[in-house]
Amino acid sequence: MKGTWIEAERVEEVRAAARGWKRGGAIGTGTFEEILLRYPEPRALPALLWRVLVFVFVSLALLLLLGAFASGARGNVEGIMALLLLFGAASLVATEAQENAPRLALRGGAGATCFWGILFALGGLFLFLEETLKVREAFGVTILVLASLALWALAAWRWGSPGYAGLAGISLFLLLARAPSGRLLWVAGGVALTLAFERALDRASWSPSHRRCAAVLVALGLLGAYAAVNLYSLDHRFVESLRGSGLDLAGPHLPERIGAIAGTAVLPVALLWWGARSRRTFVLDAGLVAGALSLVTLRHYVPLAATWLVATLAGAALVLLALALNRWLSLGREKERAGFTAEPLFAGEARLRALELVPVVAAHAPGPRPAAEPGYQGGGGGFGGGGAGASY
Amino acid sequence: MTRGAGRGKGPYARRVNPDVAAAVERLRGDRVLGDLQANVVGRVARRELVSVRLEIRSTLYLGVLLLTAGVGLFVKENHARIGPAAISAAIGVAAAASLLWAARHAMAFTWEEAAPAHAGFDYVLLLGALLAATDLAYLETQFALLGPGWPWHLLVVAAFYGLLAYRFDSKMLLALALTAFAAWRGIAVSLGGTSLGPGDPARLRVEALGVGVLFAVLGFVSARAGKKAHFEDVYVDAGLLLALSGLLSGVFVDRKDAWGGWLLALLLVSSSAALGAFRRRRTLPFALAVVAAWLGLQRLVFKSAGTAPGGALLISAMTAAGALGGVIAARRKMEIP
Repeated sequence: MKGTWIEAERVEEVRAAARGWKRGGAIGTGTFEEILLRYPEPRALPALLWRVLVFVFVSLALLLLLGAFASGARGNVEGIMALLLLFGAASLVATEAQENAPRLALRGGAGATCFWGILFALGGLFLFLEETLKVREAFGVTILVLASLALWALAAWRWGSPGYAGLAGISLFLLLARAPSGRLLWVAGGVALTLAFERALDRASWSPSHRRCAAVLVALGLLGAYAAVNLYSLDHRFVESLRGSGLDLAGPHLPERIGAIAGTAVLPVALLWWGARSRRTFVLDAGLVAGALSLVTLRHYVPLAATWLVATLAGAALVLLALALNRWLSLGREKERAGFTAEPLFAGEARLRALELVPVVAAHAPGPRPAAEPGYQGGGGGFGGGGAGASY
Repeated sequence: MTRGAGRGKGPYARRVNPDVAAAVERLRGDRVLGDLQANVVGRVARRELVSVRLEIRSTLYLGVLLLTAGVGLFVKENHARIGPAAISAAIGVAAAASLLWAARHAMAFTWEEAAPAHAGFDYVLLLGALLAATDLAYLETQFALLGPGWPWHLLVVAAFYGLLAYRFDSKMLLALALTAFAAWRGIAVSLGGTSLGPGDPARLRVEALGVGVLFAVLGFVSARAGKKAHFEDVYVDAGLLLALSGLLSGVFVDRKDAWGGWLLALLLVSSSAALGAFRRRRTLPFALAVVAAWLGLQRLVFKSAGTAPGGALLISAMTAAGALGGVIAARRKMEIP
């Protein structure tokens, strides 16, 4: 990553923080304007929706252009392979050019060209391995995953997107799963990833985007290790099945199962403890996700009660727990306890509430009335607005 | 712990955001930030004070999802055994408890925007509303209160959600009210669906256009009257989504070879919407209009290409590039971030 980009990112961090301070009422307009003067905008950053729109249209243009040329190749595999490699290289060059131009950087276009550029390159490599070199399928896939890891990691290092770091992390776990002791390697890899990048989370010498990449890798490391020790994952050989289909996989041994039971129970608690102690919310979030998965695993193996009762009680418990936590924090001195608060601080809550509309409408929008209305039929109605989505 | 961190000692001495933390100290030194301001914002930058509001809200939402799903399953599996009166009473009590909690923690009514004081307010209100709607639907199916006109209960639900939305200033419930109203007219509001709903597409298309226009008008009236003016975007975005979906359905689904007329209408409506959004500096309606117009044009591109897919794909790519250029130019002229 270039020094000028890093400096620009540092200024953008301060400007974003100042916007939050103003939104939260910590500073007035005069102070805010003074901060903006002292930290002038190095490159305009469009709103998220604009970036998504640009990403979508750049993606469409690229894919349709590739489709147009590929239809000219008339099924010639070597021609398509050359096209994919050419498009991949051109897209990656275009990414670098956009990142170098302050007017084009951070607009969604660079993200689209990088994303598709790497996928095109991987597609071209796949055809080269399969059709030109005729390598064995298993070996070819391993090479492909290794290339995926290298390309996404390089992209994250060069352009600093946490998304690329996430894809590099996923590639790493896919690669580890291909080894004979894949599950053990997932645990070791997850721990190693976490320990290696946890040190970089607050490192001042790293750029802000690289620190965000480190956070993604820490979260992936934790969740990867959890996926390896989860009992359900062990019994269903999830990690082992990633090596390919048709493998004759033996069931787990008793000591392995005992270890997995302990891991399923202990790891979420450990994550929550670490998250609370370090006050890193993303670690807390990883702990909550792992905890929820552990409870689902418990429900799978120990049928405590009917599904409706478990869902109702779990839902009620979550609502009450959240309300109690909110109350406990709010009643603390200056509405905080041990460095935690339920106040939004400087986050843009209005924007968050707007974003929450999407999952709520997706999950709870009532279904339309039936097309024909032949007359009321008792007991045949249905309604999904309550989240039930069932006929009574 | 916090005090230890403030002195730069203890387990939390390391800084979470070194760039912002350093800037705070620089701004304090230059007297841009007062000591009190620097202390407040510095604590957050150094992760000495962390908000878990998002976690609380996410946990509440997950709880609401599980609870409503559990209640649905309970009703489905037990209504014959327990009896409708007991079931509807139990759900009614739970709904009333949630709504009473919301009423107790609500801000006083205002026509202006009122952010909730409690992190869990939105979701407890949502839970109460969903349970009440479930109860109503259950009562309707069991006791046939509306007889053959049972779809009218969707209108009742829409009105109920709408009332709660206005009283408690909830965009979430307003969005659900609009989807319930659309459902009453037979339209499925689905984020991932490609169909307007079951039944005659021609009738649904007209319904979608009518409901879309109604929503948009309600949005403009809200804004102009200054009564819950901040609801305008929910009304207008929902209206535009429905109207554009109706027109796109005409372009792609119409079997009477009248797609050309539908395409013309789509281009007219999306151009007007994009222009309006451009003038009012609204990003989402602008994006919806541009995407819908581009999608509609693809029918023309591929229809004209006939048996030459390569040429059609090339022209289609050029239209995407053209739309991209338009989007970039519009953003610059709108002068919004």
